Amino acid sequence: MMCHNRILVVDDEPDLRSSLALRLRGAGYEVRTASTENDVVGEVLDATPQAILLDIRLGAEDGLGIMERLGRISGAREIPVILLTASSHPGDRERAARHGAAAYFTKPFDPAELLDAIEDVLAVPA
Amino acid sequence: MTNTDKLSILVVDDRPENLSSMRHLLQQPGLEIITAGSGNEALALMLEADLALVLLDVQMPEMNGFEVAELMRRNERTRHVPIIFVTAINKERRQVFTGYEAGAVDYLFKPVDPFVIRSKVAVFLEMKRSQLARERLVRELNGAYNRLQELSDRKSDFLSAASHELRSPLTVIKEYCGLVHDGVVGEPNPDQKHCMHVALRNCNRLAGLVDNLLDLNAIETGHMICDRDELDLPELLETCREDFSETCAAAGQKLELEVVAGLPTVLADPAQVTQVLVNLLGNAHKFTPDGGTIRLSAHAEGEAVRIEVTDSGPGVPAEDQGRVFDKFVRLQGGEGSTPGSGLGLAIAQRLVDLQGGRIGVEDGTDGGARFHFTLPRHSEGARLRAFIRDGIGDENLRESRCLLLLQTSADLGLTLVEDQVRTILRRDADRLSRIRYQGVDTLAVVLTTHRDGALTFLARLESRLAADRRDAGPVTYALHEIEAGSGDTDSDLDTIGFVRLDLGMVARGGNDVPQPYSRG
Repeated sequence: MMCHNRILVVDDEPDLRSSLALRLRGAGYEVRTASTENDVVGEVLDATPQAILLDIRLGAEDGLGIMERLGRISGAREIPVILLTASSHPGDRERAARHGAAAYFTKPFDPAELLDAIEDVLAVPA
Repeated sequence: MTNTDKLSILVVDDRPENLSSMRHLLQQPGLEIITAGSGNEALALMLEADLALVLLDVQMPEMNGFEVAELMRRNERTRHVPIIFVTAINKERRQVFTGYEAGAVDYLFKPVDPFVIRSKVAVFLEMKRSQLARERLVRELNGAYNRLQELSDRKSDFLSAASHELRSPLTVIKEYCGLVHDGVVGEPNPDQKHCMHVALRNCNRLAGLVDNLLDLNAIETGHMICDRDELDLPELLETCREDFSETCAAAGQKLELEVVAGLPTVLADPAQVTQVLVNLLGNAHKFTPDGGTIRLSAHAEGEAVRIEVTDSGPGVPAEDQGRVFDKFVRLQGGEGSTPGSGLGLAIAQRLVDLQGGRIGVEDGTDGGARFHFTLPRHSEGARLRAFIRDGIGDENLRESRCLLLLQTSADLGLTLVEDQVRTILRRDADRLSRIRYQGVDTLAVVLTTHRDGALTFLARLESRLAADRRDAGPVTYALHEIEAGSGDTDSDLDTIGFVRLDLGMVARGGNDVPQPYSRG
C-alpha cells in the first residue's frame, strides 16, 4: 500500500518540474517543488520530504552546495538525495558520490529507472 | 626577410684612432657599430644591446680583453655573444677560451688585414641573422600552436555547453511524451500510444547522439579517463552477450559466443571495452538481416587477445574498409534500418587506441563483415606503463614528472605507507595506484612535481613514517623522472635506471643499488 511519501523536486526548469510532479503524483507520491537554494531549505524545514530529487546545476546555484548546506541542518542530512544532471562531466558522478548522493541520473533519464531508484531509497529504513 | 633586421656589433679598443679605423673598415648598410674605449664601458654596453659580435682588443690597460671575455662568460645575457679577439700573436693565451661556446670565438692578428676582417665579420653577421630568423620562426610556431590550442579549447567548451543546452529541452520533450505514452495523464488509444513510442525512440536517438559527440570530444581532447586494470575477458563477453541477446532475439537473430579456453587476462578499462563491444554488436545487429547470425569470439594472438564480431550482413565493400572508422561515415544500412550517427565506430576505434590495442575490419567467411580488435595481455610491465600513461593523461607530458614506486615487505606496511602518501598528496590521490611490480605489491605514484619537488615529497613521507609509531617495516623506493614526450612505449622505461634506498625505519643512504627495469 502506497503511503504518503513526500518528494521534493528541485530544478530550475519549470517544465521539467511540472512533468516530474505529474509523473510522481501519478505514481502515488505527494510532490513539492523548489527552484532555489532558499526554497529548498524552506521546504525541508516546513514539509520534511522523505526524498529529494535535485538538479546539480540550478542556474547560478550549485546543487552540491545545497547538499552541503542540508548536511549542516539537523534532520535534513538524513534525507536521501537523488541527483539529476544535464552535463556528463566525467568528474560529476564521482563528486556526487563523495557528497553522499543516493543515486545519480544523467538527463534525459529513463522514468522507470528513476521511479525504481526513488522506491529503493524510500525502502531503506531511516 | 632578415635583411630588414638592424644588427649591432661592438668594437672595444683603448685607442680612439683604432676605433675610428675599424668603424671605417666595417661600416655597411643595416649595421650599427658601437664602440667602447675600455672593458668596463664595453660590459655596460653589452647589457643593453643585442650584439651579433664583439671585436675585443686584447692589450688594454686596467682590464685586458681576456678578462672582459671571462666576465662576459659569467653573465647569462652576454655568455653567448661571439667574440673576435684582436691580438698580437700570442699562442699560449689562445687556449684560454677553448671552453667558450664552439665557433663563437675567433682571432685576428695585428696588423689587421681589411679583407680578412670583413669576411670574418660577415660570417658572424650571417650567423646572427639566421639565429634571429630561427627565433622568429619559433615565436610564430608557438603563436600558431597557442591559437590552435585556444580554438580547440573553445570548441570543447562550446560542445559541452551545447550538450547541456540540448539535453535540458530534450529531457522535457521526452518526459511529456512519456507521460502520455505511459498513461499518466489519461489512457492513450493505440494510435496515440504508437505516436508517442516513435517520438520517444527518436528522443533516445538524439540523446545518444549528444552522448557520442561528447564522448568523442572527451577522447580527442584527452579528457577521457582511462582506468586500465587486469581484466577477465570471458566474463565481460558473457555479460555483453546476455545484455544483447534480447535485442537480437527480437529480430530473430542468433548471437553466438565462442571463447577459447585458458584465455589470458588483458589490461584494459572494463567500461570502455564494454562500450566498444556495444558499438560493434549494435553495428552487427543493424546490418544483419532478420534470422541471421552474429558471432562474438576471442582468442590469444601473440602478446594480445583478439576479439571478433562477425555478422551475416552485406559486408563492408573493400573501398570502404579504410574509412569506416572515420567520423560521420555512414555505411549503407539494411533496408528500413535507422541511419546511425556515424560516430559509433569512430568512438570504438579511439577507445581501442586508448587501451593500446588495434581495431580493423575484414570480410567474414560467409560474406558478412568481421570487425576485430586487440587488447594487450596483462603483465606487470604493461600495467606499470599503463599506469604512467593513464595517470598523466593525454597531455603528452608537457613537463617532466616523477614516478615513485614504493614497496614494503608486508601488505600492512604498504597500507600504512599508502595512508601517509594520500595524506600528503590529498588532491592528487587519483594518481596513486597499487600495482604488481617485479612480483611484489607496489604503490605507484605519479608526482606532478619535478625532481626537487619529488625529493621534498620523499623527505616528508620519511618524516611522517618515522613519526608513525607503528612499524611500517623497511620501505624501499624507486624514483625516476619521466621525460617530456615519453611515457607510453616500452623503450622509455628501459632507459630508466632504478635507484633503491631504504626509507623509514631503516636509515637511508649508502646503498644505492641500480636496479635495471625488467620487462614484466
